[in-house]
Amino acid sequence: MRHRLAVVGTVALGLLAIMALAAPVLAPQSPTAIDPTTFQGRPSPAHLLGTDSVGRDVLSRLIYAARVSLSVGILAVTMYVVIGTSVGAVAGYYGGTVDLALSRIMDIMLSFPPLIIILFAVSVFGRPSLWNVIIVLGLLGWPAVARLVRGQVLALRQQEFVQAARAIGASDPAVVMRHLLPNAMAPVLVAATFGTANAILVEAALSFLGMGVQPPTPSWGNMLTDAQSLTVLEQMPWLTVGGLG
Amino acid sequence: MKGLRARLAGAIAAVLIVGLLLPGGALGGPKSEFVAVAGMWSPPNNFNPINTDSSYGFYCVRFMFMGMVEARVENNQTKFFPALASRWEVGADNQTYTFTIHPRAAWHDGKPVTAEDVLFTLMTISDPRTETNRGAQIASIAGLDARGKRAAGAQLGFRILEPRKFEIKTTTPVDPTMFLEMFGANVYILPKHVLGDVPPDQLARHLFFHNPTVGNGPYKFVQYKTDQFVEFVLNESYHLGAPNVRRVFVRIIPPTTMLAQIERGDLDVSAGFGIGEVMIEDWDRVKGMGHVRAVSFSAPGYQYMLFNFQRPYLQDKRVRRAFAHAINRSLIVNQLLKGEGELAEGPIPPANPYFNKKVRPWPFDTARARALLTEAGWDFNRTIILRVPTGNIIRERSADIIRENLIAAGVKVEIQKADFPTNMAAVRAGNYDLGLMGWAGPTDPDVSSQYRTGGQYNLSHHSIASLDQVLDEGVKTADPAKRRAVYDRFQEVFADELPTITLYYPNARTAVTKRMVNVLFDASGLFDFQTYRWVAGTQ
Repeated sequence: MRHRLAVVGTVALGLLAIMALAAPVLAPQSPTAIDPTTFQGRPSPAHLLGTDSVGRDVLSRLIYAARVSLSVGILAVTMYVVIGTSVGAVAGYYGGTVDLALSRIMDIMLSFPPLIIILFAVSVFGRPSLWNVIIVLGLLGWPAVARLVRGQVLALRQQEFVQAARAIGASDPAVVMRHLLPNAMAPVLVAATFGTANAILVEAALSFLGMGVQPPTPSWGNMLTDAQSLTVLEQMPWLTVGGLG
Repeated sequence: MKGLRARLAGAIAAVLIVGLLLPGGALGGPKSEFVAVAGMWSPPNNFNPINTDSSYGFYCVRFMFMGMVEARVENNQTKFFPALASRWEVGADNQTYTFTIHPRAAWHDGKPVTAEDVLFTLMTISDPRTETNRGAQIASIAGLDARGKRAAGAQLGFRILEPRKFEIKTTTPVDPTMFLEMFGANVYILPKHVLGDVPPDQLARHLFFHNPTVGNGPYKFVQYKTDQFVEFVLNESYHLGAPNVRRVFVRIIPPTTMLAQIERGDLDVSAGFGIGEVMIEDWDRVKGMGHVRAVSFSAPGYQYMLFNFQRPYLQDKRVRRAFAHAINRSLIVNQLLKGEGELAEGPIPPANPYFNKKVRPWPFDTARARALLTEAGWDFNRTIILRVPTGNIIRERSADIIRENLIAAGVKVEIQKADFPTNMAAVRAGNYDLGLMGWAGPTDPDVSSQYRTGGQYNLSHHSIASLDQVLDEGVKTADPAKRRAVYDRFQEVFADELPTITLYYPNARTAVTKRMVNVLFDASGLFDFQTYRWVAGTQ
């Protein structure tokens, strides 16, 4: 209870997770079912948040979209945290030429604007899809984590308890796994939390541009593509709720 | 600190100077009766009159290049008007056509347009090494094959009578309306004195088609700022009289910002059907603007769904009819297009003189669709792929409706979207089950290139003998009344066989500021908006 903000964040995330898991129960309708009588319909008792450009229930799509966004966030971040931690630990622990080579690779990857690379990678991967977005984000996100871990490991390596472990003959993997990583994890967890939020935003951006999750699967980003016209922005605010997600 | 400030001042000055040098009208609002600004969605790929690979290119080419005649549909009949030719005669045999070029018709560099230029253009198009999409337009000329190419040693049916007079012979007698539209209106003449020495296989990459300074039309090319705008200036010595609007800018504007540009008065004309329209959501708002006329009319283009005939399970016509019953096409027109469209079962548009009113679209009937599928032995566990090109927002949305409709009839469908070229490559390779596509053709009802066995645009890869037979008869029938009867029958056969499903004919929607007068609204000659007739006011 000491960190009020943290509690608020946890509760919000928990609610979101429950929403994603219980989507079939919570959603009033199927997210792909078309109501032939109202396209871009105003919010009404039948459709609490109105209908989208092809007559689908916006509320149901919003709820189902949470699944997409959370799975992208969690899976992509898990993937790059694993890669980043391994690379960072190796670079930090061995130092020298290994560190130099790995660090330059990280520098190169960090020097490109991420969204452009992601767009490029998605189009090279073939057709855009949920899995491609996850894989691309997972494969491109690791250098930031690797840097964090490398820095931590560099510092920890000099500490007495690590020196001691090495002196009694512990193997390299044992030192890294048992002594270094557990102590380097705190900043990584923070980075992963922010990374999840960021991955959700990148997914939304990609889907908005048509390179991410493909319709009819709803995602907060591709729901927003409906809201590109001035008329929609000014007179049909229910079509912009994807952006609130 | 001082250095930085000086540099900043320098930069600002540079921006101001560049701003002053940019032509007025290109960026700001149109200010005078001398300047008009049109907007289209995508940039032209080139300005090649015999190979513009997109309607965007055509829109620009039509400012600068003319054919022999201009075609317009009036009172349900195609009529022809002078362009480069001042007179033309049709021989009694319906096989000999004589054209006289206007005595003052000239290239933009002052050289006269002659029969030699026409011969050069035809020889270039019919050369097998030339990259061109005009082949089908000249295929009826003697000495050429069905794709408009010259076999080795073949003699082209062309004779120069006088420097400005020539005669063309067709292989067989043809309907003069068809010949005049295809050769007369759709073949733009190239300057022999500029391109005569270019080898045909290098022509498509020639710099002239990015900087076409020698045209023969009412406007001259000034410049193209890549992906920004194309600028034209009037041709004062145009033989049919100089246009009223002195300078025209064709700007490239994405669909989502078109409305704002029109509202602010930065744009005079949206280029129109399929290449520059405001989004359908914004249409009502455009109608409410005091300074704009919002015009919609039936257009010659349609959206359709391909069946891949290489798949054995799509070869049964009961299956294809079941799909036609399953898709709620009136929902697409009424809701997605907000009523701005029409339905028809076939590739001849409802607004076309050859349209057969008796052929009705198969009605929306999910139960009937399911029954037909069962009868044809459809495997209800099979998942088929619907390929959708991105870009056309309405078409992308219609895919979601089609998928839901087909699922309701028991057919499992997966949508695969890709950009237009990628999608086209997949369709050409036969790597699909169903595909969405758009088409807009000339007024003449010959659609062999799409629907005959082996046609250049037969994307369904189908071969239907009854369809081939009636299409061949249509091309060879010279008598207009008999020809009409042939195409009435063609539309019946088409609706029965359904090589493709015609989804809808969207209306063309154009927004024009009220200061513009004489803007042509019906696109009867395809993408031939006769922009040289524009008159701009100062309102």
